[in-house]
Amino acid sequence: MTTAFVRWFGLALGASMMAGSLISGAVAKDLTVTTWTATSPGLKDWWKVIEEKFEKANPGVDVKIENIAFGDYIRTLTTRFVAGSAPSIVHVPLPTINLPAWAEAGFLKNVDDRIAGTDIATKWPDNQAAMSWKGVNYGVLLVHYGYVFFVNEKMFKDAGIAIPTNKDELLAAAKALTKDSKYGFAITDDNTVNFMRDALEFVSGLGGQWAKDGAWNFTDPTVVEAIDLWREIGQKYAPRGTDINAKRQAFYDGNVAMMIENPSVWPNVAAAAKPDVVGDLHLATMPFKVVPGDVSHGFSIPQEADAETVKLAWAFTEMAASPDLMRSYVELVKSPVARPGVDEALLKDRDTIVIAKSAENAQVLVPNEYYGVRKNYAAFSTELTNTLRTILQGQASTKEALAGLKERLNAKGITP
Amino acid sequence: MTRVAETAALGGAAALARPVRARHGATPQEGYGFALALLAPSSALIGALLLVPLVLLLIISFKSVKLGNIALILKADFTWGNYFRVLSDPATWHSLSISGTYIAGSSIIAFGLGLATALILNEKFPAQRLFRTLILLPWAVPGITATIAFLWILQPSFGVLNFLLRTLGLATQDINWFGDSRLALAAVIFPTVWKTYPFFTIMLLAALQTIPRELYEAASIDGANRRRQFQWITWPSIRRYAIVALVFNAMYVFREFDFIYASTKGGPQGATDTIAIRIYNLAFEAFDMAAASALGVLTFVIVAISVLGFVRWQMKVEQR
Repeated sequence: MTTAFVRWFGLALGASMMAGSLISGAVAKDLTVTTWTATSPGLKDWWKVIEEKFEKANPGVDVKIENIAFGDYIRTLTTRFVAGSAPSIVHVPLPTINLPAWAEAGFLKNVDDRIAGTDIATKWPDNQAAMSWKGVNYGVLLVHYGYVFFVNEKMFKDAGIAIPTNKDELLAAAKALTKDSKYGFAITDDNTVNFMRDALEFVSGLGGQWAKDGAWNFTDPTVVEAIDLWREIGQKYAPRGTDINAKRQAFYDGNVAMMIENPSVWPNVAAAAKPDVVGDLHLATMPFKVVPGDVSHGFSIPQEADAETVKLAWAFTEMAASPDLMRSYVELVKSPVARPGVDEALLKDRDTIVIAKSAENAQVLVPNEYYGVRKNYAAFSTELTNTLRTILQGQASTKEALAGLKERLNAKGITP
Repeated sequence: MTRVAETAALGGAAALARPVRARHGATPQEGYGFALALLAPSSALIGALLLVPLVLLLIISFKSVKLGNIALILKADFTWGNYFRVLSDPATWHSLSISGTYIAGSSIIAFGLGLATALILNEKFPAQRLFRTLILLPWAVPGITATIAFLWILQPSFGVLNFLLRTLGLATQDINWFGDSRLALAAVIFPTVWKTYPFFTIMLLAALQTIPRELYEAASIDGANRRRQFQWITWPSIRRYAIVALVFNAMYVFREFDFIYASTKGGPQGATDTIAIRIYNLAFEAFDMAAASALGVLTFVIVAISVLGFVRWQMKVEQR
């Protein structure tokens, strides 16, 4: 009797497990997308749009947008790749620096063949190269932008000065507006890559090239001049020790008259600025002859994904890069995108028009062809950050410090 | 059913025949089996949670792949290269010295504060219980809350500390606590001390309460002043507890990561690049899991040797 019971029980259990798996397979296929932006203003709405549209176009597919805090994002994703539990689609934050290590480790799928059949191959800007490594595309770039100049117009009006349009006016304005516990300018002054990024914005903006013909060019007079300008403003006319959040908050609170930031910060202004300040905050054209730019937001597919997941993940990527979704991105996030010709929503407003124009001829801070920098980004950024810290602390002449940087990078075998 | 009844009857007969033989009288083999069976679930759980990651860490540290899927790492060749790489890197020794300074600085100051507060709280005074609770409060504050609070307190331009220093005329310009390589280590030691001194207070207060009051009365009659009483009664009585507390605190501080990473990320110019921060940066900034694992294993060995050495020394002291 006992044996018969065990046999029947086993059969029933097996049958119910099989039926359960068949039913669940028929009901829904999960497509997980990891991002750090699921709660960000603008982007959270875009995720809803693409999620609904994709689920409608693919019945039986359940898109799960999984949010991971930006500070934990790279660590979490890397750990998941190592453990073999990657999501279906990886949202790559900063392709220039995040992608090479993941591509080298074999975590990402080559999508060359898939791109070849789409207009991404023909229409996408050169910055799609940020999603490639050693000639292979490992995903699709969604956003490239130019940095924009955030200004508090009331502070300028009260001081009786115009918004600066060049480096000399920038320095003069920063000096004039630094008074009564308010500051003319804000830089990121912490130990992250944002510290280095803010300094490189000055270098690119003044037309400096810190690498040339495959060699370091840090002692070039334009580079030295740009870093000197950054140092003078950072030392004398900016609050000290501001991390990226404190820098932005100081501007939102009306304690800082100017800052340079990426355009995705603009949607935050309405929500984060003080009510009596928000109306005074606007965007202006960069006071440099060159608009420094950057790339962000790429979609990649993990190497470990099964055939069905890859098919769906690529369909999702194509949908994200489609004119409709890119247009929706522009409208909701107020950011330029990689797809050309869909930024009309930005041209309707005096502030967002600056965002659109800045993206047109922006030059990325770290050119995609600087393979040495991209591959050894941690070592490179540590050396550069240390040097910039020495300069900002006023411990050495800019030219000498940059010459020392060049020597140390060469000694470590790091080339651009 | 019949078989069970027979067995029970036999067992009952045996019990009647030898009533003196209790459970502890079972043969060693039977006893071990029973004990092992009881221990098995918890052992398996501990094994899964503790040993598996450690073994995995050890394996990765001996593999020739810097970063990759775990299956790829396991298939990779065995190498000592990661250990050579880590040990020959001056940055490792720099991190070790930073860790040493950080541990010494935070432990000594926290110990001093803890001892002082324990001595005060051991005295009888009004609202003693309230003060005991208040002094222990930093220990109960979650790390993330303390981190955010200190980041704001020490913010150079808008923070409270610099505001006070400026107001009191002690500083003429904003001091960049976390951004100046000459100050950053002190800036991370300060919150660590605040967070850890209550641990010393608790340990030392408990030790102080074991000292009989009569000893102090006798010493007082003999003419010993407060300093002498501390030297000859208090310190010898609490010394063992103090050393244990120092070792425990050092181990806690050695692995401190959250506050340092949130405030300085190991910078500026490596001024706060402790071993814990370096391991993290190797793994997730430089994407060199193999070197990070090797350094993790070496750290484990250093801590194990230090603790074993301490235990042996402590045993010798006890025997004297």
